[in-house]
Formats: sequence, C-alpha cells, structure tokens
Amino acid sequence: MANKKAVLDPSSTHVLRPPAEDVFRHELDALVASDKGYRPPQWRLSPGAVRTYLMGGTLADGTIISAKYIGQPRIIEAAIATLLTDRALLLLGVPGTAKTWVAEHLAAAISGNSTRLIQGTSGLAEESLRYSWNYARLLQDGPVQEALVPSPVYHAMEQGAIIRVEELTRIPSDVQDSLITILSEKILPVPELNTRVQALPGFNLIATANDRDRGINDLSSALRRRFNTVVMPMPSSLKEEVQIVQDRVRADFLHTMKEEIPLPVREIERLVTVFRELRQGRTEDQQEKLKRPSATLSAAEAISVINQGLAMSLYFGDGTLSAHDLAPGIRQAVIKDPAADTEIWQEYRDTVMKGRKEWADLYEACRLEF
Amino acid sequence: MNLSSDLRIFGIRHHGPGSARRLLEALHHWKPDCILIECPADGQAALDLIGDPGLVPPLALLIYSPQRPGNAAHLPFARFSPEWLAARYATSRKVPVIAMDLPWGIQDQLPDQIPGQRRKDPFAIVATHMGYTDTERWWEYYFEQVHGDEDLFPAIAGLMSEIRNEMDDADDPELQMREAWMRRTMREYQARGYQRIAVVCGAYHVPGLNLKDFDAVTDQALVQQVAAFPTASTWVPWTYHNLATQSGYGAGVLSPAWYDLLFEHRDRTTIHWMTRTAQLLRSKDHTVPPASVPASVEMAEALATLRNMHQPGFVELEEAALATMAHGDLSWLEVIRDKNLIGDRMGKVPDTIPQTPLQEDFHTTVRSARLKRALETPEKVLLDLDLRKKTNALASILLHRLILLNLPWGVLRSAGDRVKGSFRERWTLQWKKLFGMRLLEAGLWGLTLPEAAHRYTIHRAEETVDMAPVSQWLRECLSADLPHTSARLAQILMARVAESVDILDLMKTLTPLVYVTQYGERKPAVQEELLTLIDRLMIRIRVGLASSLLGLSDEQAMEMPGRIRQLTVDMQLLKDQEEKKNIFQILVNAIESDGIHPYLGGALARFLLEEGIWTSDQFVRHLREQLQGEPDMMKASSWCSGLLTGSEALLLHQPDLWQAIDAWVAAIPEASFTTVLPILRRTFTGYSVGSKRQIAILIKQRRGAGSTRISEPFILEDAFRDTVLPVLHRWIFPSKV
Repeated sequence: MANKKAVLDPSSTHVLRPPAEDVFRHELDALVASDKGYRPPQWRLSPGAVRTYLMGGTLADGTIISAKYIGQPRIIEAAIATLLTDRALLLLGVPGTAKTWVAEHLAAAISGNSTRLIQGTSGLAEESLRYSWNYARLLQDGPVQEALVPSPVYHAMEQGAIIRVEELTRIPSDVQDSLITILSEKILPVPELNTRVQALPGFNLIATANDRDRGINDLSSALRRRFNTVVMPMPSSLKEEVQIVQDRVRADFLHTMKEEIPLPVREIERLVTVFRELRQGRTEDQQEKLKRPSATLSAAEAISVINQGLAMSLYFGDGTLSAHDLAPGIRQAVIKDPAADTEIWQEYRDTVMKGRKEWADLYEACRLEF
Repeated sequence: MNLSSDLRIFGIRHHGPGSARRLLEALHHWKPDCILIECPADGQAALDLIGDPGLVPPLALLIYSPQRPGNAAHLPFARFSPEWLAARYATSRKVPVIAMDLPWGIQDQLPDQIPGQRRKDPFAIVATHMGYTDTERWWEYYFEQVHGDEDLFPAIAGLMSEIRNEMDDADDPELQMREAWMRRTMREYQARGYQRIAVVCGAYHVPGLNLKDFDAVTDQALVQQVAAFPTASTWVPWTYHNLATQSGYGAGVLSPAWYDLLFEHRDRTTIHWMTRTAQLLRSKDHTVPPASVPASVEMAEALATLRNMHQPGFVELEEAALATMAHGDLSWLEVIRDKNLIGDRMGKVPDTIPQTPLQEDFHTTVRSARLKRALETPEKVLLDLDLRKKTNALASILLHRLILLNLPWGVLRSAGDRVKGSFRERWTLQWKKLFGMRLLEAGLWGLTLPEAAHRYTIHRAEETVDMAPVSQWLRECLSADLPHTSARLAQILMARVAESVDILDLMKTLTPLVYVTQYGERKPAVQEELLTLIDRLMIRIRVGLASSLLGLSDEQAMEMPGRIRQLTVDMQLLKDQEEKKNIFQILVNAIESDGIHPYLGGALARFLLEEGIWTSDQFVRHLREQLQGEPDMMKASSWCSGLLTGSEALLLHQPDLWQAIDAWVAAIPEASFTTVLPILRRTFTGYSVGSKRQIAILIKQRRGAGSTRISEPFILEDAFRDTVLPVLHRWIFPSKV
C-alpha cells in the first residue's frame, strides 16, 4: 500500500470545531422552510421538526436530515417534551453517552444558537450564573445598567432561548441553588438596580451531569424537582454502537484529512466488541461471564482509541489501521486501576480473544503490550 | 320469520374499556328487548346466573366436560368487559341474555389450527399500515381511548368489512361454523318475536353476521356436521394476573389495571394514573413531592402531542413519570409496574354457584381417604398414616398432590422426611380459608387433582430458573403418585444441567434425587435417567467446586459448609468412594488457598478432622497457622466462628484446640476486642446451656479460681419451662385460670 502521509487539510474548516448550527445550517434551514407544525413561542422549529433534526429523516423536498442521535427515539422525545413544559431538562448518564452532544443539538434546533453555555466547575461563582460588574464603569458611574455584565443565563432569559449548563453536579451546591428562583419564578432579580429580568417564553435550561460522579455535589431536593431527568443509556446493541463510532470517526477525524482515507470498519467492530463485552461482563453471544474492569469503556472512549490509532498509522505506520496501532489504546482504556484491572484484562485477552480465530492478529498485538 | 324485528350488531373488542362505554351508551339509548352475546351456547347455564350480586368480576365462565377430563374452556370477564356489562344490563332490565356462539362441546372437536399456518392477524395488517408495530396500541389509540361515541359502531363495521374482504376465511372451518351458528341463533330469536335484538360480538365477526348475505338452510347444514358432547358450566374467580397471562377463548389483555382505569376515569385517566403512581412510589419509601404530579401530567401530555396522540397512553405516562418523579431511575417504576399495569384485583364467587370439577374431585377424594372430619375441623389434626393400608395411602397421595398445588393442608412432621425404610408418614393437618380460594384457582390447571397437579408443576418447573426446586418437586411427585410428572421433570432437569453455573444450586438439586433413587419407597419409573442425571450433576459439581469455594460473600460462606456436608452424605449414599476422595482432595486444596472465606475455612478444617482426612497433628498445625502471630482480627474471629459453630464436643474434648483458641482469645488486644466480640458471641449462642456451663467450668479450672468470675446464666431448659412454669403460674394467679 502506498504510504499515505496524510496531513491536515488547511482549507477544510476555519475553526477546529464550529457550533452545530453552523455545521448543519442547510439542514436547519430546510427544516424551517418545510415545518408546518405548531411552534411554541420563540422556538425556531416545531417539536416534531426538532425530533426529525435529532433522529434524522427525509423531508418532503428531498433534503436528507442526518441522524444526530443514534438510539431510541423515546429518549429524544422525552427531552423535547420536557422542554415544552415548565421544567428544565437534566441529561444524566455515564461519560460518553452523548449528553453534551444531544444538549448542543437541541439548543441549536430550538433556539438556533447552541453557544449559550456555562461549564460547571467546582470553582464556579454565583456571578457566572447571574451577572457581574464592569468595575471600571461601576466606579465611574455607580450601579447603572451599562455597568452590568450579563451572564449567558441573563441573555437567554431576555431572549427566550435555551441555556446549557455542562456538568451541573460539579458546581458547588450553594451556587447551584441560585438556579432555583430562575427556574421556578423565571425571574432574575438585580437588587443593585432595583430591577429584574423576566424570562420570555421559550427560555429553558438543559443541564448535563455525570452518573458516576453523582455524589460530588448532589442536587438539593428543591432544585431537583425543577428538573425532569432523562437518563442517557449506553448503546443497546453492537450494531448501534459500531454505527455511532463510525459516524463520529468519520466526522471528527477523517473529514479533517486532505486525502480520502477508508473507514477502518473491521477494527471498529472488534474494538467496540471488546469494550462492550468488558463493560457488560458478558460475551456478546451471552455464553461467558466476564469480570468487569473499573473503566467506563463508553462509545466516546472507543472513538478516541480509534482516532489515536488512526493518527499512529498515518504518521508513523503505513496508513492502514492495524491491530498493532490499536493495542496500546485498548490497554490504556481498559486498565484504569492497574492493581485491579490488569488481571481482568489479561484474563479476557487469554480466554476470549485467544479463542477467536479471526482475532489472532489482535491477540498477538495485545500480548506484546505489557 | 318476523320481518318487522330490528337487529343491531355491535362490534366490540373483548375487554375493551372504550368499547364497553360505547356499548352501554348504545344499549341505554336503544333499549333492546333481547341481547345475544358471543359466548358458547353451552355456557348458558352459567350465564343465567349472572344477575347474582355475589358475582364480582374478574371472573371466568368455565365450560367443561365431565366425561372428558382435561378439556375445559375459561372465558374471562373483567368489570370493563363489554360482554359482562351487556349481560348485567340485560338482567337489570329483565330482558333475556343469550349465549349465541357455537357450543364449546363442538368447538373443542374441531381440529386445532397449526400455529405455522395461522392466518395473519387481520388487525396487524391495518395497524402496520398506519405505522404501528403493536396492534394492541393501535386499537387502543383509535378505539378505546376516545369518548364513548355511538357513531363509531358503523365505522368499525365498515373497517371490518374492508379487512374481511382482504382475508381469505374460507380455509378456516372453525370461523365458518361459529358464524353459521351465531346466524342461526339470531334467526331463531327473530322468529321468537323479539323486536329489538342487540348482538354483541368481537368486531371481526360483524361482517360475518350480516343475515342478508347468508342462507339459513346452508347454515343449518353446516352446524349439523358435528354433534356436541355434553358439557357443564359454572363461574370461577379470576384475577387480573390471569387475565394478563392467559390466552384462549376471548383472549386476555396485556394490561388489565390500565384498562380498568381507562374504564373508570374516562377523561381524567392521566391525572388518576399519575396520582396513583405517586402514591405507589411513596409506599416504596421514595420521596415524591405533590408538585411532581402536575409536572408529570404536563409532560405526558406534551409527549402525546409530540407523538400525535389525543391522549397519553401507558408508554407516555410511564416515560413522563420516569423523568419527573423517578429522576430517571427505571428501577423505581419497575417495582410498581405490575400493580400499575396488571393490578391485583381478584374476583369473587358466592357459595350458591355450582362447584367446579376440581372442587368436586377434591371433596370426593377427601371422602374416600376418610379425611372429611379433618377438613371440617378448624384446629390442627395429627395424622399417622400406615401406607400399606389402602385409605391411608390414598390420604398420603392426596396430601402430597395438594402440596404440589401450593396447598399445604398437611405438613409432614419429623423434618419432612418419611422415616427411612418404614411405611409411616406423620402429618399435621390444618385447613385454612385461603386454601379454598387456591383450590378454586387451581381449577385453571385441570379438572382433577392429578391433572391439575401435573400441569401446574410442569408450568412452575418451566418458569423456574433454579434447578433445586424442580428436584424437590420431582421427589414430591413420586410420593404423590405422578409418574408422568416426575418423568417430565427429569427431562427438564436433564436439559438444564449443562447450563447451570451455580454450584450451590447443583448441590441442592442433587440431594432429593439421591434420596429417591436410593431409598424412596416407590422406585421411580425413570430410575435409569435419574442415575444418569446424578452422574452429570456430580461431574459438574466436581469441576466447579474448587472455584466456587473462593470469593464467597458472607452469606454464601455460611451456607456452604452445610451443603458440603450434605454432598458427602449424598456420595456416601451413592457408594461412590472414588468421587468422595476427589471432593476431599478439592477441599484440602481449597483450605490452603488465600481466596477462601475465613468462615468457610474454619468450617472445612473441622470437617476434614471429623472425617478423618486430617490427622489431629495436621489439624493443629493448620489451626496455629491461622491464629498465631498477628492475624487480621476480623478474619481470625470469622475463622474461629466457622470452626466452632455447632461443634461443642470438639472444643470440649480436643485439648489442643482448646489451648490454641484460649491462647488466641487471651492475646486479643483490648482495642480489637470489641470488634471481635459480636462474632464470637454469635458462635457460642447456638451452644446448649449444658455445654456453656461445661466451657465455663473448664475455664475456671484452667485459669484457676478467683481470676475469672463466671455468672451462671439463668436459662430454663425447654422441658423444665414447658412443664413447671404453667404450674407455677396457676399457683400464683389462681383467679385467672
């Protein structure tokens, strides 16, 4: 095979990762044009069209809408239905279950803007959720509207739009609770100016939180009941998960390359099989019980292992993704806690992998890794 | 024929709450003077009793043949079943209600359709066409959740005509014959001079009952082809669970509780469902604030809108409750789903209703086994049976069969076993009201006790995952004189033995089998198969035992020693010395490994000593290894607990053991003492008072008097307590006697 020293195509995109509403502008425009359903106030699309945008389909005018979420439609329907009600939406799940991805696309479809975003961290201050001050102006003019620096939440309320909060449970509890008034009363008081922001219809909040870290700063029960919780499941079948990994590898990695690089279908399938089997503690044919390592082994991790392997093969190998490019990534992903996971991994490798004839190359590659 | 008579056909869906409301409205409006319902004509006798206020649905109309045991039809009715409401309406208006379908005595003789050749479900065709994968849901959305609009009847009739045109029914002789019989009944009641005849039937039959399209003479010839065998009919109580799981005539429904709600609360289903769900969740100790209920209703409605439905269905309700009340935790809803979807409503039948065949069989058998007095006594009755006597053997078989039917009227004393090699069984009998209800329900499985016991046991065996209960039932079947059942159970076990990975289950399965093959009085007809099965079990156990001894939880570790003892007893019975040696080798290896649970390690050490596998020296060496140095306190005390639980003699008569334990206890640092104490205390509480006293004395002797103070526990021996205390009590409180 010709040595494909592929390099990043400098003309492909201007920024590393443009927001969803830019990438899928033509799909959104086509949906707006063909949408005959009832649109709630400030919504750019009817709820039915939002579902089509997320789940994919073909419009009457022939425009093909790509599937943003591969999985059960009921998850997306529950999310959309929540945004139609008074309550905010909490997407809960283990890492790599497309929480952020779904939140971004929902915001893009509903408000046409997915960039109103607050990243939850343990250092987040209340001002980031409400508003802060331009101190130079504050000192010069005193507390006036012009000296106020609005937060993304403030903006979303004013415009009747969707605001996203990533990793809600990482935010300290007392700061989290400042959302209660915003979500229940739909107002944001500004006592310094003796005014308040009243949210327009269409304002709502999509938060994501990690199942595994749930205990970090668990929501207070008062805040919890302002949210409807939708749990994002792990992909239910091998086929579904392989599809997800393929789509994302194509979109995230291969598209940035100048040359046409074939999708490593077989390697993706084997990798996803390994991850699923270890994650579920059972072989795909349900015949054998396995020990489960502590790692999450989600589809997102499979994607990064593939991308890493592809990069290795492109820059250091012959351009074809081989078992040897994959093996270090698999090992790294599976063994998170060396004391406990190493044995589990070796047992899997020496029983399940070894037993599969067509996996001989992968088994050999993994055996060399130690 | 009376041409002025008016006849209307109401196509319904069996157990459809929407159909039921629609039908009731139509009947009230039109006031028929005769109602024909789709029910086999030989069920008329039971149908005539429907006005009895003691009959509370869910019920099943039972048609059976006294001459052909094993054949019976159950027609279930819920309070939301259209036929039930139509029949109750008729009795309240004093107009006749007639069972118009082909008698079951004929239907049962017609050849069954072979499943593979079954016609495609006609409704499924339309449902698929309209984008539904599930026919039930399609019908529910279009015809059951809508308001009771009478105008829908002609619409349904029209739809059915279209569907019937697409279907080729000519190859379905049963359908042809049933509809011919129904038409004949309709003509008959016209001829009798009724003016307004309401015909209530499954929607699919509507086009087939259009009298204009069929010839009376041909119909007559068709139904006379087969003669009905004699049948009888009665009512039996039914449950929503039966309704949800049984199929057959008039079929069941997947979600009775949900239909019940749809029927009772019409437009406000969503609110009622959510309120009930919140209550059920709270009953399971979940916090569900009242404000969550309206939020759930709102979300369910939003979901219904998104899915183009006029009202949320069960799926939407559950998804909404999941997001709003259960915080996305599906297990919350799974626990209550049974109650929410199926429900636990049970029907009632008054004493005035004729007995079911199974009840009759039961009472006949009770009489011939001379147990009638025992049945009528509310107190406990002690019964000693000599199985060589005919009536006694009969009684024994009856009681064992009842146990298989989950009706433990009699309980075997002396640890549930027959005294080995004797022909005696000692029972304690006490009839409970609950058993009457269970007997009625058991009628579902057969018309006679052996038949019902056979079918029910096979059903349970097929549903159960574990093998051990099946093996227990097999043993029971031999005592209950059900050779066919035990043969089938042996087959089931044989099929499972290869799959099972649970060694404890395999060991539990082995014991009853060993019993029946080695000294059951009635040698099983399947002796050879059982011996093969035992062989297979032994292999599986031997192969899996080593790994199953490691990595056990506390509970498993407590259970294991008893199982292993039993296993060696079983092998002793099988006279399989070779295998026994293998097993002991596995135990010896396991006890030295690190992964073994200390409790199990202790118990095994004692076992090896008792069985003579270990010499006293070997045992003591092992003991020292476990306790000397600075062992982990929890581990060491758990080990001691395993070693000493239930083995007082060992401690008292093995001076080496005594010393080692004594030295270890004395050396426990004060800080760890409180952690270790509960485990040790648990170990010794099982000992008899005598042993405890002896231990105390031993301690006193070896430690020297004065260094330890021993308070003698004030515990009365059982015998003393039972005889002396009542006398003392009477003596002190004479007035209260």
